[in-house]
Amino acid sequence: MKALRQFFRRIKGFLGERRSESDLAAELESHLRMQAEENERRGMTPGEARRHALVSSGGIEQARQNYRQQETLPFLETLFQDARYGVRMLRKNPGFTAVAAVTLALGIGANSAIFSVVNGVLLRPLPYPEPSRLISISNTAPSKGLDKFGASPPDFRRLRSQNHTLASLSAFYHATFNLTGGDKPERLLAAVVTPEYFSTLGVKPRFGRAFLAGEETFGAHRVMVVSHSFWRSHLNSDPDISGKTFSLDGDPYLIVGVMPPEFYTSAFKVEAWVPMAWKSGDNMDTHNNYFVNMVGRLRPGITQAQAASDLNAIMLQIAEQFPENRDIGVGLKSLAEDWLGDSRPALLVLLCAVGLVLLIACANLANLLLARFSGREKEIGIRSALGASRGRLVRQFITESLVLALISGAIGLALAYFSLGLLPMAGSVLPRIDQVRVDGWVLLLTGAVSVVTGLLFSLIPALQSSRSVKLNESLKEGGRTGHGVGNGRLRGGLVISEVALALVLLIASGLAIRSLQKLFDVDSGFSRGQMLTFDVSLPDAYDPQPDPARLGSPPRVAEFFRETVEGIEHLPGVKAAGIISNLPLNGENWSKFFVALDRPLPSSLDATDHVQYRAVYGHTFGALGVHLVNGRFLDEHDQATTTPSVVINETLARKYWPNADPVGRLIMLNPPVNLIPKELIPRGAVLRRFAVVGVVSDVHYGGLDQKPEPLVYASALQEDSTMSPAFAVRTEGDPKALVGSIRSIISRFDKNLPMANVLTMNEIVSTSVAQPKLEAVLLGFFGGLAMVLAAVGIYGVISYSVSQRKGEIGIRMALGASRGNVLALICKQGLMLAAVGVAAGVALALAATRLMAKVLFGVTPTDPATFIWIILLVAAVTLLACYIPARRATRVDPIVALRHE
Amino acid sequence: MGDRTEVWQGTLALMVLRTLDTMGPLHGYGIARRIEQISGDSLVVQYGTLYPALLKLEQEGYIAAAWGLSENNRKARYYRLTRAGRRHLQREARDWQKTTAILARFLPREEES
Repeated sequence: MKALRQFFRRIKGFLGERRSESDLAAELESHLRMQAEENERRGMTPGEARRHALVSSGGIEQARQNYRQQETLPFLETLFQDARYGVRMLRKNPGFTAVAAVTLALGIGANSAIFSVVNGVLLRPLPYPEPSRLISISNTAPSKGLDKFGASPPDFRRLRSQNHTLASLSAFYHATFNLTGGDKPERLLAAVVTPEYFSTLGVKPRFGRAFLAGEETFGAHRVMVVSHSFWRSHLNSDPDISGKTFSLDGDPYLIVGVMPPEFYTSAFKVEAWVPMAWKSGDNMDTHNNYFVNMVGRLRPGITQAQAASDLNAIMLQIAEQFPENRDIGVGLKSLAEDWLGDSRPALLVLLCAVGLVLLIACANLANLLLARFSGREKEIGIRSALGASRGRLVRQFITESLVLALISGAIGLALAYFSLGLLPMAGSVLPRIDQVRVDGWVLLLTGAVSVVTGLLFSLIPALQSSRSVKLNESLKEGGRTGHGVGNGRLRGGLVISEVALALVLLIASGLAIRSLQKLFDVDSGFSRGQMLTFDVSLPDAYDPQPDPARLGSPPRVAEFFRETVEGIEHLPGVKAAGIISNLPLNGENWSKFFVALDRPLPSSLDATDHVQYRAVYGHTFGALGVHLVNGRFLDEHDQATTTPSVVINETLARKYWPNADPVGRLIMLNPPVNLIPKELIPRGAVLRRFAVVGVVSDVHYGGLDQKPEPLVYASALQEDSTMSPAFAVRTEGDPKALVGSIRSIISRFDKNLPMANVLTMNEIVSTSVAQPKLEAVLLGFFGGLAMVLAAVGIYGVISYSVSQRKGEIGIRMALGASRGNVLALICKQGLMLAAVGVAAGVALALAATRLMAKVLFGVTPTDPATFIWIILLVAAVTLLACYIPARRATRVDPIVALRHE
Repeated sequence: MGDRTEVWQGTLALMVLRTLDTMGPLHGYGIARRIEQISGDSLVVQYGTLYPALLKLEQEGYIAAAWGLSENNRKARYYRLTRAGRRHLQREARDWQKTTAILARFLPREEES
């Protein structure tokens, strides 16, 4: 208590709230006078009395100093003194300051930037109350090789009503609607959610209300909650939303709520939410349609494992009732984990990389400081002669370095801030990437990193040079600044570790680059150039009487396909156009049963194979540039009335007919009829046989890094069609130039149909490799930075040692050593350091790159080629860094050098 | 800031407080003279130590200072004991007596030269 009060008084004193100099002087003076008067009374002359008073009371100056010290905090006082001195020293050596600050700022800035990303994507809690209780629930069927897929609406409802471990469970799926009513039709990304969706997340609308339980009933469901940005762009930020309606796919929806601006759900930009409601007998609301995502909130005190066993018990009951549900359970994941997906390893690799860069920067700075402090030995000598203790000297050096580190930290932070501004250019490579910013945590980390770095790079040189001071030596005029052997060894050690760390980073970036190269080299199965793609979502009105027994597109859909594809193909500059249910690189997301009729039939549903399925119309293969291997493509000859035909990919052909020609074989896209429960076959349904008419090259639908799966193409007119067709248009010139005329073809057919996701195939490809590309670019940048820093380090050490060995070199040359000998002598020294560094680095890299296994494609973490190339690169750079000072050594004039001795 | 001053200041503070307790408000010179007198002139109180000690006591809230007039109509800064200071003095005096009593048992009388 007392100590605290005193401390605050002293802080106040430190901040300038002290007694004025004159006030203190007056008090001391009055003291002196009283003493002098007393002395006079004892019989001294006035002059004698005053002199005597001064002597007996001790020095005035000393008294004042003691007083001032008591008045403030001497520790802080000296700290500021040292800091001011440090700033002065930095300003006096702008060259050193610039090199040091830039080195360190790059290191710190890289860390701040990557940490901002890690913080925003990985560490920041989800923007909901008590986020740790939120879980994502999905179906899993390990025995069928399915890791994670959606639930069916009836299963979800059963889980929702029968569980005992969740405070709330809701389901949702993303859907697009055609929003009309404005001047142009728009595609709206919406989430179709069950009414308790918002309360599960724990978020309330900013205006209006969330959904009511009754709005789950079909007919009462035409209400919507919109995002804050939708409210701003479509409702003019008017808080009065009552009675506002928008038309979604032709149905009027009443706006009941507006979400707050900070509400976001995942990487998607969801603009609106509508209730999930099913018409009775809706084909989607059946037991074997697995497509809804579930998010739940655990009851307080319930663990994820408890909830998992509770929910799986319910799934078992369901499976008893519905045999097709056998072996399907649910898997739980924290919602945060679910959002993150698989980007954690990539981020951690980057975080390690910037850590290494910073370490190298530290080593470099330590080296610089060692050199600089040994140049300051005279100053150090004077200071210790004047009574500075070793601790005091070390403290001064460290304060000076901290000043440097904090300045660099500030520059680094600015670098990070501006580089984060470039993030949007990388596209949406990571979930929540738009939430990345420099916040309090980043500031805190940058501050901490700066201080720790400052301590790290200054401690060794400070201790080293304050120890090596030999007072008389350094004060002697002309006394050569002495450098112990230990000093040289220390610098060598620093260079070795720099080379080792740089090697690790370079190998990591080499691996990332090679892996990207492998990814680019993958034969995607289609040709990328000059292709425009987009998709259109057809409203339910295009299929007014859904008939499960019908094969092929409903009449209006078929009409839409015919008119638009024909219209587009007639445009000048279009080579071919076609429709496909899902474009390449969009995911392997539509599978069907597959039975080859010339092979033994499967004995049960479980034993029936699945293959990928794509519905096509028009000249899809020509537009995509898929190669024909055998037979023919599907085209305008395949109509609803002609022989049912399919085209298969090479993977499927290899799997079922490895040594035979598949063309002409008969297949089915459903299980053998005797295996299907009677009630599941729609009345009037015809189970068709298809003839294989062609084999085409494998197309990567899942992603360039995934193996193509067996796949069947059928005409949209003959098998399952699609209500959200994607178009592929092969053009002669710039694909984007055609967007306007294509749009008018579509709106001529139906003015309420918007085109969405208008992209060239090149854009789709580059988006699909955006994350590995960013990883490779960043790692390459950090690796290059590390190499430059290490090279500077080697250069510094070698040129320093050349300047130290001038005399020796002079003697050698005087005794007949050739320039080549000297060159070799100096380079050998540098290469020895580099060799040790490389050896250590290779050992380190072998251990460290294993962490990268998950982010690499087609390259092993110990890829020998990468290791060899990088070692050669490091050797070459080292040689260059040694060669420059070595060449300087050969220019030593023996006579000058010897006279200097 | 060696250790010696610390110990010296500790005892000096007690002497200052005791002086102010018996004499009432007093200026720095008066405090110094009084301490020297009581010690039988075996102590010299230099103002290099006295004034920082007074400042410390002021910071701790045990004494308060104000400008006033001395006996000789001279401007002088007067120090007086606060309530906290009086309490502190009592506590410290007790502790000090206890300490000296214990120490006395360790140190034989003959040691006095």
